[in-house]
Amino acid sequence: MTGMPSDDMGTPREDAAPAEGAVPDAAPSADAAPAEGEVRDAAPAADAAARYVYGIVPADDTDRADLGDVGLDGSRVRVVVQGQVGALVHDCASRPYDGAGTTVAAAWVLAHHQVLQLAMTRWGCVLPMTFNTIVASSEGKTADENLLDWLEAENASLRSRVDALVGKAEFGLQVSYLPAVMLRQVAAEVPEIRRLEEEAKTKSAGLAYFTRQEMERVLRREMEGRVRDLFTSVYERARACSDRVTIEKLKNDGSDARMAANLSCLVVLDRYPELEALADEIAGHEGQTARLVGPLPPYSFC
Amino acid sequence: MTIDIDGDDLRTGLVGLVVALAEIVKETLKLQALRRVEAGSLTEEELERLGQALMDLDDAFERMKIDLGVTDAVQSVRDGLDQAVDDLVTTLIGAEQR
Repeated sequence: MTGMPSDDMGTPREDAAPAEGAVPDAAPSADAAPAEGEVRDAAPAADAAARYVYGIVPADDTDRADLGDVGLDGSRVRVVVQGQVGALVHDCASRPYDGAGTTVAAAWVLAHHQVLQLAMTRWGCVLPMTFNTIVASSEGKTADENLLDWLEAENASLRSRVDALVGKAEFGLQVSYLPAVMLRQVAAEVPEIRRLEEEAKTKSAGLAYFTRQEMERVLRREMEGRVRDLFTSVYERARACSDRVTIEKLKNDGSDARMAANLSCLVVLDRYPELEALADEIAGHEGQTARLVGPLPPYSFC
Repeated sequence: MTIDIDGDDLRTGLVGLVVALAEIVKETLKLQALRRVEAGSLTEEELERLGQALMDLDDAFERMKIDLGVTDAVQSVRDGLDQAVDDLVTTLIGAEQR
């Protein structure tokens, strides 16, 4: 990611905020973090020399330059236009927002997300910046000058990236299965398992142990194959109705269900019904669930 | 960041770790035994004795985990190890694809 005001280009999620219990004066990583050791509190800062950047939009309609008081802590969000693109910003202090173990951090991340959602509604697309992307002033240049310099230098590249997102949104598709149900299905459907089960009953305890071990091995192999097939089919079908698909890490929430696929899909909005139909079809199978989240700003495709 | 250590948590975690490692060693032994069985070099009587012994070993581990109250702790160590291997494989595959 070249030319971005911050190295940290992750998705603004709640975990982007400093962890609870973290040392309060440890500033989060951001290039634009000058005032080391200072702690920013939740109140609006008197110092507003820097610009907090939410994202980039096409600069086709200057009538909508002001989004109102919708930003972090209710700050006013406006559009700074340079050439073919505009940056959604609010005036802020030149140090990062540091939530340090407070619920305020979650509210900030949510506000960041909501500004991007609003931008998607108004412009039909937005190139999201990560939470805490702040452009500060530097040697003899104000924050606005630095922001405009960056927008100018990256104008064509930013515009083409924004254009590639027009009319599209990100959807998260998470598919899980219940191992107990799948186990029952495998046991009922695979003849080899029933054969081994019967065989174990006819043997003495010590010998039956090996037969049961064999049975477990077959069960495991079948289960792994089915989970793999489930992933492949979900992935292929999601790709068929999406512009782009990225594979995310599997997460298990401590319930009995196990995740088989966790995808981020960039979808042309007209084709969303296809993705929805896919999710419904997956969830129609016994022991399977599908969770579809969105439309979201294209956090995974910027 | 401060680490809050509770005496009981520490004991459960430590015992869980030890039992998880012992369990992995046991499974390696079992795998070796199963290979011998597949090779077909054992008599039926030897097979019966080996099967009984392995079954007793499995039972002993299950009982031990319940008695020590570390069933969940052992599972969590093993899940953690699985995750670590998973991450490593993903990183290696990812590096290859790039």
